[in-house]
Amino acid sequence: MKNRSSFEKDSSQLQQIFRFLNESWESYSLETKIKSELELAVEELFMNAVRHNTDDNSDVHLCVDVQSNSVEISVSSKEEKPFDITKTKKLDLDDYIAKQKSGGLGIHLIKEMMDDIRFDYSNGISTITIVKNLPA
Amino acid sequence: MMTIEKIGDNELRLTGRFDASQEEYAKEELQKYSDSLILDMEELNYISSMGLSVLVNTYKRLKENEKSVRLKNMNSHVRDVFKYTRLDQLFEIEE
Repeated sequence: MKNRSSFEKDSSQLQQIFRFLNESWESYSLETKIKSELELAVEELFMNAVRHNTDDNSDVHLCVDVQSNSVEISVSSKEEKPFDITKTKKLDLDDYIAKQKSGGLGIHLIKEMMDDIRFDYSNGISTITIVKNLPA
Repeated sequence: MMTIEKIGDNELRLTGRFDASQEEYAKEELQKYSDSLILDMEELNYISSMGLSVLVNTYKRLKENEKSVRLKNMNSHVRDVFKYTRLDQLFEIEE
């Protein structure tokens, strides 16, 4: 069953987002590691919207779908210029470490931790869907 | 929520969840220290890229004065986040 909710585009909403995610999967016995990875991916996507999608103040919409073999979460928000995270260049971590940069690791972490990422843009709405496969 | 508590001369204990909402609090707390630091992460359940960024900036600030940051007692989620970003190669990490 899909569970949906909307959140104001503000970092103060993070605790409510984590609560919503945990309510969405509380009746399923997901491993702690999987829950933490999903929470992290959603936090990174939400904070990208907070920091970089400042054209418009409308809410960010989350939809969580827990299935027997995967968890699928969609994060949607209005966006004037769509930013497709699936098309971002792979981060050069050797260079990153050598130059001791900070920041910009969020998308890299999502790509490392999730099994699939999809992007859709229609009618001015960007939707990023992340998929985490569950162990058999 | 996260707390940063002093548990020794140069040792701090991080407890809770280091997400983006904790950025200002963590920066303010870590800014108080100018000597080498040991961060005990046994009670830290979660860290996101914002948490990593605050720790890398602390590392850089201390390293400028030839000081270090050592991390210890990471749980498996926190360790994975460091591993996926290869920041486990930047910090000294104690088992």
